[in-house]
Amino acid sequence: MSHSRPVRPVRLLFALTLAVTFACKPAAAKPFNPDGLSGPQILPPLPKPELLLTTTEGKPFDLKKETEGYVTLLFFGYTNCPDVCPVHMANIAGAMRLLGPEVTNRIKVVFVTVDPARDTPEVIRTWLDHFDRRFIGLRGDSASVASAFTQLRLGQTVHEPGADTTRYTVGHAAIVLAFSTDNLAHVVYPFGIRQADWSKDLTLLVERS
Amino acid sequence: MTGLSRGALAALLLVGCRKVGPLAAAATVGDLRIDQGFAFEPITAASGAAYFRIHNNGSVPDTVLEASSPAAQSASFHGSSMAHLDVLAIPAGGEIELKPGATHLMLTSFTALPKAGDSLSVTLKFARAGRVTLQLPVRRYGQ
Repeated sequence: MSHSRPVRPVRLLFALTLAVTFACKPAAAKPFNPDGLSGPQILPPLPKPELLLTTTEGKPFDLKKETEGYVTLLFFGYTNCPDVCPVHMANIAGAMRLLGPEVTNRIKVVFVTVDPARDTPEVIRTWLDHFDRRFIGLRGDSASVASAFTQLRLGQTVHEPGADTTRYTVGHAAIVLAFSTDNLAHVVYPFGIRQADWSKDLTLLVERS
Repeated sequence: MTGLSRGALAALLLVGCRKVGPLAAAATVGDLRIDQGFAFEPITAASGAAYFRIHNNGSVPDTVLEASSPAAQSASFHGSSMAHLDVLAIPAGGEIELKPGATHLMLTSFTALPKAGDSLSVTLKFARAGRVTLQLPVRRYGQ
């Protein structure tokens, strides 16, 4: 009654070889699947920037090294920001609370201040702890952060004209970049993403990594 | 239903409405109707934000000249790119809406930190309609 034939050993061996071949391919070769994500896909995807900063605990933080293997949300902002920055952080934090550790343990949320003059490590830590103690707070010199903007082409994608000297403005800070474990940001999150959409997307990004 | 019980029902409904955040912040001054107001609970004393909608039922434009709050040392309007806006114009028969991610009232250097569930007093000064004080319900960011 069955339509299937017994799998011959040769066929099985071939299938296994194929499976192993694919399994051993680097993650970057896997095409990104944007289906069902609320965040718009960006093409081409953006590589994770070279960024060496310092954590709120005073430890050096090499973005690529420290976030390797994690779905990484990268957000530039400042703690004096009353509108976009805290709303983004609160929505991500709310989404993280909805998700189990099998998802959240595979995510790193990284906040980089664009206002190091006012944002001391203590100020950043207090501010982030208000949302989620797991959030990583980074601070560094303006040149490093500016270089990250250049690498991420933020000026061309989200910025208002003539605002290149005003890194304090929300123009830079209004989006959250989501890097998959292939170290590429395939999706970007503009302002207005709701908590439910965040938690759905974070789950999908983790599942597809 | 007697007049009394109808009145009581109306009073109950009114009280019920006042518990709903946005309606509690409504106010009318001259030709202007202000509603849907709220403020976020500031995370630190450094800064916070407040939002509302102003509808101008009149036949001439009006302008918000300034805003103030007894809870904060300064208040200023900003656009979505944080550009400072000196005044806000409300066109005749039109409306403006302040909302997260767009134009907002930024309050800085809080002297008293309002908490979620509190109300935050904000006074607006209009060029034509004069002054009006709003009691904005305070909610947490993300809510």
